[in-house]
Order: sequence, then structure tokens, then C-alpha cells
Amino acid sequence: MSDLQAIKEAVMKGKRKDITGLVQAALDAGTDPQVIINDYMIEAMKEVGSRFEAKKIFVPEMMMAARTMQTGVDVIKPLITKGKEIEKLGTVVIGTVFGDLHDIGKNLVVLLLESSGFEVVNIGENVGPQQFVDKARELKADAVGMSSLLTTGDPHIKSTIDAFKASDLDGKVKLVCGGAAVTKKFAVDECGADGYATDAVDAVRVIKQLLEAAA
Amino acid sequence: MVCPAIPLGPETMKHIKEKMDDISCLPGSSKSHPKIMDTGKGVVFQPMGRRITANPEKAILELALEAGVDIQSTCGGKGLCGKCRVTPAGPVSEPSSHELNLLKHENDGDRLACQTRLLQGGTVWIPEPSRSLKPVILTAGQPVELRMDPLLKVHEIKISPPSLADPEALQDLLQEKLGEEEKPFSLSLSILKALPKIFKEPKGYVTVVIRQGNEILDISLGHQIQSLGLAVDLGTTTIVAYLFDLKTGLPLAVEAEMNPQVRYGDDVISRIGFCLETPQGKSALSTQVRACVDELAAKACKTANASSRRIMDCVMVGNTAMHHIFLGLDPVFLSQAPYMPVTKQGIDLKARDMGLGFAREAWLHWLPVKAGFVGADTISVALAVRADKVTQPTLILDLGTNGEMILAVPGRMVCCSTAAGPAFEGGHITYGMRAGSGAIEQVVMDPLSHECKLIVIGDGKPIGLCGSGLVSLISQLAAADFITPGGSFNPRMMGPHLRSSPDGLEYVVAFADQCGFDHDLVLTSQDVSEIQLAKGAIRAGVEIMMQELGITKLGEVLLAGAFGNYLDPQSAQQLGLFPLPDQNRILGVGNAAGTGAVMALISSKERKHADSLSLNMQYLELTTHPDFLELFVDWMAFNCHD
Repeated sequence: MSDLQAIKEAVMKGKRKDITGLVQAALDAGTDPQVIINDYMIEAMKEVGSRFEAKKIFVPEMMMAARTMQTGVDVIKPLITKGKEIEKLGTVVIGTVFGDLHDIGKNLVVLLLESSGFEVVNIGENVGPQQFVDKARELKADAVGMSSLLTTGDPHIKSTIDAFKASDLDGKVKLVCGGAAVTKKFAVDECGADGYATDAVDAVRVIKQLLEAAA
Repeated sequence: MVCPAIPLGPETMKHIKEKMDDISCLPGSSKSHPKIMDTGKGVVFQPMGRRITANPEKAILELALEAGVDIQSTCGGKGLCGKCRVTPAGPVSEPSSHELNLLKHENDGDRLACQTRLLQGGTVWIPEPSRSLKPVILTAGQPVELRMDPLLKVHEIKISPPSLADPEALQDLLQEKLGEEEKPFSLSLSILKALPKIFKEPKGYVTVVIRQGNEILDISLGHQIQSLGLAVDLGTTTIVAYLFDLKTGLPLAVEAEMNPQVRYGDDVISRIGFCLETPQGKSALSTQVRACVDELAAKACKTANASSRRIMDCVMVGNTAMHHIFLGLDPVFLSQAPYMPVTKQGIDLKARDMGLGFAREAWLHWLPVKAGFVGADTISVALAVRADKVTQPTLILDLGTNGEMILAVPGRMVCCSTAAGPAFEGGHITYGMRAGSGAIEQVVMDPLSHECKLIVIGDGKPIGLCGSGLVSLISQLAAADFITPGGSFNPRMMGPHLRSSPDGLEYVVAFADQCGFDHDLVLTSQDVSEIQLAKGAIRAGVEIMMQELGITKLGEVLLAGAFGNYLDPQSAQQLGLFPLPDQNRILGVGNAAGTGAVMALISSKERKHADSLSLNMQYLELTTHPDFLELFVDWMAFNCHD
């Protein structure tokens, strides 16, 4: 079982170059792919999240860990059959708002949400308000995450939230904002978002809380 | 006309450098963090870019002392001398009676630093007269040899009024005198109006300035009259103006000043935001920056004992946002994907249309821009370093708020920009600052005792770390195992220098008794993260350009700006900013953007060449590049060696 511990270790330390070999070895030895993900990789990311919150590690290491996990998951994914999937905590649609192409922070949120048990649909960057609403309706999203890195994206956060308020989804979907340019004061107090997250770990916490409160 | 070779060589550069040493301001830009202005927690002193925690109980002067920022004050903070005038941005305390007396009725937002408290934090602009900060080196560019070939030609001719023997209109008489060499030219009304006065003069010697052989820009009585040219490097933070004699090609003066827009935000994104969100925001920023260029020109002319009315031609360079704002173009499309400029072509316009008090018919030329985040300044750098004439793979890095970079191989050039942030200029770093007096520029760590020797610019006590100091410190901390490959401080190395803090571990670079203030100068975990993010982005850009050009090794690395001059090549490579070039060929090329602007001013050939450089350069968009994220994350680590 030491190989599996090595997988956990590799994710925690962000050793992306080692992970493919380790995962392949575990699969060759007959380990259940689901076990590798749930019991080792997701566990590793949880540990990474709490180390981040404890200020033992910082954004770069969290990103390295997330990329490492992603690389490992890419090896395993083709082997997982649909029926085996565990029950999801909810569906989150997430994207970067209109005018902004930045995806790195948002993609980190995607990965952490996925590893926390959410079904996440990443609808990409430069997403217009109507696209957000349409996708959320189509996928029956429980929550929508919107990100903006540039300060000039503020009006687009607002127009996206306004589009939800004006739609049939008003009140049915939790709207959560984040990204370097966004403040809680702006997103929640001025635009009327349901939640605001300071970073990727916080995003998972906020979305969990909002969905639990709504359930 | 004989065109002497213009030596922008060591002598000229020495002259420019001496000029620059007088300037109490710093090169480069500062923080790009969009939230600085409204966090309400910090106070940023500009132009130094030093940051400190806000304290509504303390006067601005007191906070400045704590931050190691010098503000003039001869009365000891009693509100009597009036020397500590600053411009605060943010909610401030009510003025005292002393203060009102000293400030009289000037209502320009200035306050006395010793009498004013910032209630929530904000930005404090320290105007030049109130700074007692030592001068800073904004270096001159690399020596370049180029032939003098300005767009303008100056003719000195003798004219006589129309007579019965020569019954011609004044314009035709003038044309006759100028001879075959000059084609028939157009005359503006202002020149036509000047003609009778000129022809009335009995001596009859006149100086005529002709642009591109077809437009008379100026006609003045007498000879030996100077015709001047101005090259301007319009930086996000600093504006530098170079005054040249267009007849002799000799440099006359160099002046620099802070970009007055700094008070509306440190980086281009917040300036664009100000333009978009504030009514009349754009025109306010345009007006201020144009006025600043006008003042600089006047200042330079004063130094050269000349008149700004004799400036006939002006060349400007700057990033695309500065370009748009100066010209009064709406920057809205720069702020949203795919970040496109209004125009990429070089622009010619009359200087008077920009409110500049030059010669009435003077022209102003902007070099072309390449993309929303690769501006005329980058094209100017390419021109100055002759990026199209390299003989080996050459990386040209200009690390400002946006790290702009060019990779050139014989026959091909690519460029890109990364939102690397201002970490290498000290922005976002707890004790970060620009390269100036009091900045730690290099750290030498003893491999056994781990004791650090600090090399400080100006040899005084340290008050902060500039980009080269950060690179030097962090690369050695990583080599000595104080920092793990992932970038966190190693708890096993706890000791007098490495200690806990509420925000994670921190490393004491200098204890209070060695510093220019009364507390320890530290490097925090968050600071290390900032450097990792910046270097990951830069290295990813470099790797993608190398992939694009199919090369695996660099021949040479050229670093533009002050960072390059202080940077220790070995630390830069240890940190992994770029792959080590052949025989460690890493060169600082100084203020190459300014050099390029001067070249385009003095030589019409170079000016034209800038257009073809821009056309031949290929722009790579990194935000959408499929390999960017992978490379970015990989290169954030400290063990990702070549």
C-alpha cells in the first residue's frame, strides 16, 4: 500500500512529473480507480486545503497540488464507469465574466470543488450574462460561480447578476463571486450576490454553506 | 546636406545619466493590485511605492517615518514650516488652523503631512519639492550609433522683397530661394501671415524649417536659430523627455517627472477603470498627462536655455493604455477580451492639438503599438536593441507591471506580455520598493553560517527590497533550504532569522537596529508567493516563445529598465526567470524605450523602421495558450531546473 501513500504525497507536494507513473503503477496492481481518487487524491487535496487555511502553504503550492491531482485524474478518468460515481453534493456552473480571459484562479476553484464532491461544469472565459443564465438553466445548476480578475470586469459581474435576477432562475440558483478584482462589499452588498469567496478554499466553504442552508 | 554620424555614445549617455541622477523619482511602475486604493487598510507613499499599515491616530508624516520614506520637514512636525506638503487621496482629518494659514486659500487638495491623518488609508503623493529622498538612477540607454537624418530640414537663406525686377508673390520668392532641392510646399495660414514681416526685414536672413520636403513648419528671422526635437518615454509611473538639437543632433537636456496619473492608480488597469467609471475621467487623465509633458518640455528647454516654441518635432512612446489615454482614445476595448487597441499604426498629429506649447506647426509622432498589452514602448525597445538584426536567439525582457518580452532569432521575432504583476519592482511585497536609495539590491549569504551581507543602494540603512534584491535573497534562501521547492518556508530551519508570525512563517532580512526604521525588515511567506507567481508567468512566456520559434537555447538575454542593471545574472537564473544563455550573456540595456524614441526622433529611417519592426513582429496571446497554465504552475516551483 506504500505506493498509494506515495500518490497522496505526490499530490500534496505537487510532484506533477511523478504522478502519472505512480497512478499507472497502482492501476496495474489492480487498485480500484475510484479508491485512488477518493481515498488518496481527494484526501491529499483536503489536507492541502487545511494547510492553506493554516497559512502553512500558499497559493503557488495549492496550484501545484491541484495540477498534480488533475494530471493523475486524467490517467484514471477513462477507466471510471458512470454507474460507479458517488452521489454529488450539487451542480455548480462556473465561468469568467464577459471581457475577461483569465482562467487560472477559476480553474483552481473548479478542481477544489470537484475534489470536494461537487459536479462542476466549467463554461470557460469571456462568458456573457445570458450565456451564464442559459447554461445554469440547462444544467439545472444549484450554484453559479463567476470570476473576474480585472477591475474593469466589475460592471460585467453586475450585469450577470442582474440577468439572473431578471430570469426565471431568480432565487433558485445561488450566485457566488470571486476573483482578484471583486470585493465582498461590491458583489454582495452592491450587486446582490448570495456569496463571495476570497480564495479557492473559501469558495468550497461558501458554496457548501449556501447549498446546505437552502436544503 | 551633410549628415554627421550621431554618437548616442558614451559621452551622450554620460550626459543623460548625469541628468537622470538629478531626478528624485524612480523608474518603472508599481503595484498593479486593483484593490489598493480602496482596501482602507494600507497607506501607499508615492512615487516611492512604499506601503505601510494605516493608522488613523498618526499623522501622515509619522507614518512616512515609520515606512522609511523621507518627507521634508524643518519645523519638526509642528505645522509651521509648510515644507511637508503632500497630496493625500482618501478620507482625511480636518485641517488645523496652522495648516489653513500655511496653505492659504490654495484649494488643490494639498495638505501638510505633519497635520493630516488619513482616516482609512489610501495613497499619499509626495510632490517633488517635499521629497528628500536621494536621487535614483533611471539609466540611460545603450550606446547606439545612428546617422542623423531627421524628418525636418533647416535652411538658412537670404531673401529680398518683391521688386519691379522680380514681381513675384512672397511664397514664390521663398520657393525660388529654397531652390530645386525642395518641392513646392504647402504653407499654413500662420506661416503666410508671418511672411510680410519677414520680407520687410532689411537684413533678410531667415531660417526655414521644412518637414519631409513639403511643409514649412517655421520661418523665422535670422540665422543660427535652433530647431529642437523632443523624444518622450511616457511610462505608467515616470515620464522622461529628451531634448535634442535637430540641426546638430546633439542632446541638450533630459528631464523626468512622475506621471501625474499615479494618484488615480498605479497600474494601467486601474487607470483604464478610472477612465471608464468616472465621468470625465478620461479627459481628466489626458489633460493631466499632456500638461505634464508640456511642463517637462518647458523644463528641458529652460535647462538648455532655449524656448519650447522652437520644438518642431516630437516622438512619443509608451504602453498602449498610456498611448490611448494621452491621445484621448477610449480605452474600453483594452479592458476586455481580446484586448484590442483602437489602432496599431503609428500616428502623426499636430502637437498643438494635444495642447502642447511647441512651435505652432510642430508635429507629434507616436510609434506604433503591437497589441493591447504590447505598446509603442516595446516597439521602441526592439528598435533600440536592433531586435531584427540579432545573430543568435536573443530574449529581451522589460519587467514592468506587465512583463513585456520579445524573443528574436535571425529572421523572426515574437513578443508577448504576461500579467506578471509588479513584484519585481517591489510591488505587492511587504517591504518592496523600487530601485532607489535605501533599497537592498543584493544579498550575499554565507553558505555555512547563513549570515547575510546586504548591499544597499546609496549605502545607507536598508528600508526595503527592490526587484534585484528580492531575486538575490529568494534564490539564496531556496538554495540554502530555507525555502522548500514548493515555496513555503522550511519549518526545520527555524532560528533567529526564520520565525512565526500570524500570517505564516517569515524571514528577518534585517533586524530593527540595522534598518532605517524602528522595526524588523522581513520577507513574508506571502511575498515569496508573489515572486513565485510572477516568475512562473514570465518563465511560461519565455518557454512558449521558445517553443514557437523552435529553439532550446538562448544566446543572449537583454534586460531593459533599472531591474536589469542591478540584477545578478546568477540569481536570476537560479530563480528560474529564464534559461541560462550561452556563456551567461545577460546584459542590462537601461532605458531602451527612451533610446528608441530618440532614434526615431533623429532619424526618419529609424522612424520608418519602427513601423516595419511592428509589422514583422508576431504577437502571442498567452491567456488562451493551451500550454500556459501547465508551464506557469511548473515554473512556480524552485526546483524546476533546466
